[in-house]
Amino acid sequence: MRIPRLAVLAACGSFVVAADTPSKAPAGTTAEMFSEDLTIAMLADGRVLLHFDFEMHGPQATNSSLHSYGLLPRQIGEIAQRYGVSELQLAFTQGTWREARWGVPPAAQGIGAEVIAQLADGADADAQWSGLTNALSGVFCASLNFVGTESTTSPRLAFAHSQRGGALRHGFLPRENVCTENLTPWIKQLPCQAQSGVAALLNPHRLFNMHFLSVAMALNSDADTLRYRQTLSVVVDTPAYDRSWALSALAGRALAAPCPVATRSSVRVVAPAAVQVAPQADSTHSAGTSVTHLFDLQRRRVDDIVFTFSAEFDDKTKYWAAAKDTPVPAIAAHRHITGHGSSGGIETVITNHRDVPMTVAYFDAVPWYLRMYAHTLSVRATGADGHTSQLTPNQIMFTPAVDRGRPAVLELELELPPQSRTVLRYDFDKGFLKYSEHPPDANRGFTIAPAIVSYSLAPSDTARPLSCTPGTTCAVRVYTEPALASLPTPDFSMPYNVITFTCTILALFFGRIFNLLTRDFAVLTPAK
Amino acid sequence: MSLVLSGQGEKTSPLLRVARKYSAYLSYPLAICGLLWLLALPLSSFSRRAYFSENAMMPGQVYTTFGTQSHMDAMDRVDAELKTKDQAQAVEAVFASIGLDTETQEFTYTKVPRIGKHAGTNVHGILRAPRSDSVEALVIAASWTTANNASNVNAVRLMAGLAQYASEQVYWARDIVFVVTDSGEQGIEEWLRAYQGLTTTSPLFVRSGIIQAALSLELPPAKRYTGLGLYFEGKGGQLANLDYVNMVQYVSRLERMPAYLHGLKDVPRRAHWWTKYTSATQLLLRQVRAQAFGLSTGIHAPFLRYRIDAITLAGLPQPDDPVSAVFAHGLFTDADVPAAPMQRQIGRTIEASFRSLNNLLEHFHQSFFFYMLPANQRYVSIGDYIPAAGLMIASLLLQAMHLWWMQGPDELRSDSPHTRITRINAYYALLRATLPSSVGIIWRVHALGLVLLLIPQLIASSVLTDATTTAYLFTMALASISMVLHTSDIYWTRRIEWQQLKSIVSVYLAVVVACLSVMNFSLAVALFVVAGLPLVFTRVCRVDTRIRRALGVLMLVAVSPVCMMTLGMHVLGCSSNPFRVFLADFYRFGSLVYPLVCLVYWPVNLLCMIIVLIQ
Repeated sequence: MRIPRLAVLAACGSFVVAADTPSKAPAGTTAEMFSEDLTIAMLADGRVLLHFDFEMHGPQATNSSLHSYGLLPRQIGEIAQRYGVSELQLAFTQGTWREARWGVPPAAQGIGAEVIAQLADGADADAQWSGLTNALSGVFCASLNFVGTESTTSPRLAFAHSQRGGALRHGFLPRENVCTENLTPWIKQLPCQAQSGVAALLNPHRLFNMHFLSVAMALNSDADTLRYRQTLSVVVDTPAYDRSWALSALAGRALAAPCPVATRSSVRVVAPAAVQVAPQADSTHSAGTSVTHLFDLQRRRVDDIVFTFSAEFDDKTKYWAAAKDTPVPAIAAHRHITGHGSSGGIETVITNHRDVPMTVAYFDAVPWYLRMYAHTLSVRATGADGHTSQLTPNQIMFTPAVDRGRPAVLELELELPPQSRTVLRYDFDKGFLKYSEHPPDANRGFTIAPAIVSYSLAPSDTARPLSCTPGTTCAVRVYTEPALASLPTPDFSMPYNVITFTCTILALFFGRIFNLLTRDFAVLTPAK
Repeated sequence: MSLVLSGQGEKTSPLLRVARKYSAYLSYPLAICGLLWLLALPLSSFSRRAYFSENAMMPGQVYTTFGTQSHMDAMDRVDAELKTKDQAQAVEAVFASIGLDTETQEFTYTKVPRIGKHAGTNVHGILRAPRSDSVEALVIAASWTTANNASNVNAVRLMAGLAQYASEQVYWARDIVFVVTDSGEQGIEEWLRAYQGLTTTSPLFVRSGIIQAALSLELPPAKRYTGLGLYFEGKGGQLANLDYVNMVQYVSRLERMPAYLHGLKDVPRRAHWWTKYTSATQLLLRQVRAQAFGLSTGIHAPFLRYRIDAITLAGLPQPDDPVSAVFAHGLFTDADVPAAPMQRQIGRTIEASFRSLNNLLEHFHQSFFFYMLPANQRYVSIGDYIPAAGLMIASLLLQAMHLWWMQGPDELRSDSPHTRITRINAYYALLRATLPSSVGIIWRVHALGLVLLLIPQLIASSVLTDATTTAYLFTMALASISMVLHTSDIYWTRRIEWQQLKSIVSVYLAVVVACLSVMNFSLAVALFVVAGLPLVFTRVCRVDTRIRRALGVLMLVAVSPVCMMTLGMHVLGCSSNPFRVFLADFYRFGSLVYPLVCLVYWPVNLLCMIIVLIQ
């Protein structure tokens, strides 16, 4: 009897050790791998982009509850297994990426919280999805559990490139703000947390004093491997209007020694040639006007990086001129709500900046309370010659909305002419909501999730996101800005007035009647 | 049948019976009471002290910092750019150098249908709020000329300074759009239409989210300003939310650059009540003029049509200002900019206002959208002024009820139960005989109004100059009056009940005034004064001789649209015939005044004449 017990205890002990110091427990983690990279890019308007990229590989769990997770976060592995997730993307984004100034985004994310999941076939996908969002909500302290059926869609065109069979679900919460409570669990999933390596720069005080912040994770589950990637992109102002500043001043923290379990630990600096970078990088290569400096933190210890700008950057107005030369992404999309009053419309402008026709998929999920009229859809393209003509989509998929059930989904496949501007328009009427369906700040309006334009980037295109390796074909998603639709709002103080009136009257009547019924009236004779 | 029965007192409640008994005497005092109520509105006991309903605004809770060297430099950059470039390009260059997303909008418009094309240019720059989602925006707008056709370059300069100031701050929760137009209200209207995606001829592509509030600036040439004028009425009588008006008044006082409603300064607190009363009356009359007829000052007016709260702040030059005096003689140069402390004070007022607008969590909704402001920082709520309209409507309705009862011969009104069946039959026969002719007259007169409404939109109206407009109006007036004489000539020989006709017209007018009073109180009152009052007093005494009838018609001609508009040209301060102004506003901004004149005021006036003329 004693021996098995001891064995169990020993097993538990070794497991705990393995989880705490993975590098010292080679047995269970030989296949596990972790790499950390930081890209620092000087943007054309004088701001700085920091893009953190952490990647983990591990073997697929064979026996769910007893699987030993070394580097990979156990909570994520278990969630993936429990809900049959083969692919999962989650992003929290705040701030708009200004592609006209900053160029190509490091990874496209729409403002708000977005979950995309590929769920295994067979099982009840809706139940799995609901469980998944609730679990993620708990892990990341986010309101993802509010991704109900009303904001869930199953795109058919937009994410076709990532489709591997099974049920694809997409959920978007446009009003979700990114907060430290989302960042903390995200940091805790890193093997060295924020204690060492480039992750030491993850200083919440600095990260949230930003212009753009996107915290994302992606899970990819094969038959035998589990890949988990955590990325964080942030655009911040330079520390001061000074010609020379250090990375430690920018982040408010210094670089630490690389994470001991990391197989790769690097810092990449992309800056104009006029910017001097000290210390000397391990390798540099230039492309166009910008130079890439690469630091390998595993080869040598780098405590700080100092950037010195030449005098030509003194004049801040030159930044704006420089912004005009920033390589623009192939496709840009912006969406606006049109009209006012009880009806309105949506106008999306998609610009093709390339000299070749581009095939894009347009995806827009319109909430049911904006009663969309599919017959009002018009697509007009203005070419480089200024000539405007009707553009016929290659494919139209429209799913009508169900009240309080699902959103209306419009998916189009469009072939955009070269150097063209395409304007999509469709109209809607604003529905009346029950008073209890309004958010607490009803008069602000309802935020409508961004529309998504996805396309595949040609290998020859140089303006590509950081996540996309050069020389390959990548699937790129472009998000429009969210929109605000103001719906007719009732006077919410009315029920309150009615309640107070009724209560007052009740109290008065009840008080008097109660008094009359319970009090005993008697004539007192003065005591002598 | 129920019409007959109720006319015969068969189906009436005791309350109605009492009302009918006294209706003959009640309607005149009620109309007078309504007017007296209006006259009582300027009394200080009627108004209450302004307060903030929206606590999120937190007005005056920030230290204002506008006026540093970089802001002044940005203002000077406008002058430098203006030396080499035209207006639109200069502003665009300044905005771009500050780091705003800019766009120029070229557009053409027609002032009145088919009267020549005018071209205009709008420039706007958008300051993107850091870490925001660009779904909401605030607007600062200025035109190159003020409402009085003075140069407004001071406002454009100040806007550049404000853009520089705003671009240095990180606390903005919504984007700020700076718009400069060269075509006044029409330019802003075109810009708004493009911004809202309502036009495809001159679209905008650099846009932000929905506009939550707007502020327009007017700084006529002057060295020093004694304060700011605050204007808040929209084109169709919409008003900016009272919280917005209060907030701007409050923060402007903190910055010692007080914003006065319509530019009328405060009356000292210890002034004689009559002084207070006259000052309040003056202010209210200006509001009624602006609200009822859309004769507003400032380019904020088009915003209100799109449910965007907007106001105009206009600088009030000192009476003895040297630059202002020089400008009056046309010798103004752009180098004569306002004194730096003035610019700082006005800039800080706007800064403080925008900080408060930035604090808003929702669209303005807490406070009143319907109000009258009899003095700075005081208001009369809708509950206190709407009874005036109620009294007027009640007077019309009571008279209608009384007249309906009084139609036909006296036998119909006997109480004898023996003749009940006979009475009902006689009454029914009377209605069958007279109702079609009454309704027929009303239709005919309205058709005339419809012609008046449509002709200016159908004819090639390049002929619609000032002189021809007046001529056209008089021709229409003569034609219609001769038609009136002709129709009444026909009906003299036929049996027609004037009581019945007046009763129907009264109900019709009461309904129109009632609907209007909850949309545009000033316009409803104006309509009642020019059309309702004459109707109430039409045929109040016997018109049995030709002289009396002629007198009655003459009095009605005096309150007819033609006379009123010719007189009103000076009262309203229009530069041209009000008819033409209303027509243009109807065409450009969908103003209600012109259709109301054509389809209600004029027909009712003509019907009054017919009522006088029927024997």
